[in-house]
Amino acid sequence: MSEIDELELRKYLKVNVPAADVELRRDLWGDVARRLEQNEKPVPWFDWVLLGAAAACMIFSPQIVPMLLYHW
Amino acid sequence: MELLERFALGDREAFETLFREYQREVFGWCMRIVRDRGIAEDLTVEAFWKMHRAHARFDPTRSFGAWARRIATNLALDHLRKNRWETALVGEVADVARENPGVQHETRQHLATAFAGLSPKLRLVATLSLIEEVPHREIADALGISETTVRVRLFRATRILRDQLKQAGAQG
Repeated sequence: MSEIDELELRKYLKVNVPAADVELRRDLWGDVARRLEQNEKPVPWFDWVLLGAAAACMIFSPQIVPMLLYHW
Repeated sequence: MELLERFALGDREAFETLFREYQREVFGWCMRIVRDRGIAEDLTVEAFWKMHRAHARFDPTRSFGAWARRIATNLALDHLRKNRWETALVGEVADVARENPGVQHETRQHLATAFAGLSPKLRLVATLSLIEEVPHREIADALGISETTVRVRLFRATRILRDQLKQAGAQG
């Protein structure tokens, strides 16, 4: 495989595939800000209750742990 | 305090300033790799979100642009890995067809198939170097590899592409 092959391939691609249009057409800050807010939202109280219940089940009935792991 | 130092300490305003300064560059870089506007936008948002989360690990004495590009490249590479057979050059070659009806559908299909056949690592290097004509040094920096490794990957990618195109009778 020589350098000429690479040059030929470059030429072939140049004819058939243009460089990508890299112009950003909209401001993406809104999307990023939303993403940050989602991440910063506190965990709902109900989720904490569920987590507590699951932890209590695992502590008082450890036999369910393998079953939970199986269904994970 | 300098902008980069404030960012490293978690200052949201500093992050927004950096975002506004670099969003175009990061988007453009993602676009060069994935060649799909919607995916490149998603990757840009994801990349900045990651940067925000990793602010404490950023060294303010180093280049933010290079760090951002490295994160974006890793995300784009992950995307190529997950969508290996779906993300081809199809959209772009379709555009060529509109601009240049002389380009055969078959040729476009051969190209798309040949690129999709490359491993994500080879494909990333081949796309950036062969199509986008990005210098080896820049590709190496973005991937965190040496220029020699870039050349080796390009060599392998070129050989595979050439063989596939020759097999399909598309080149020559």
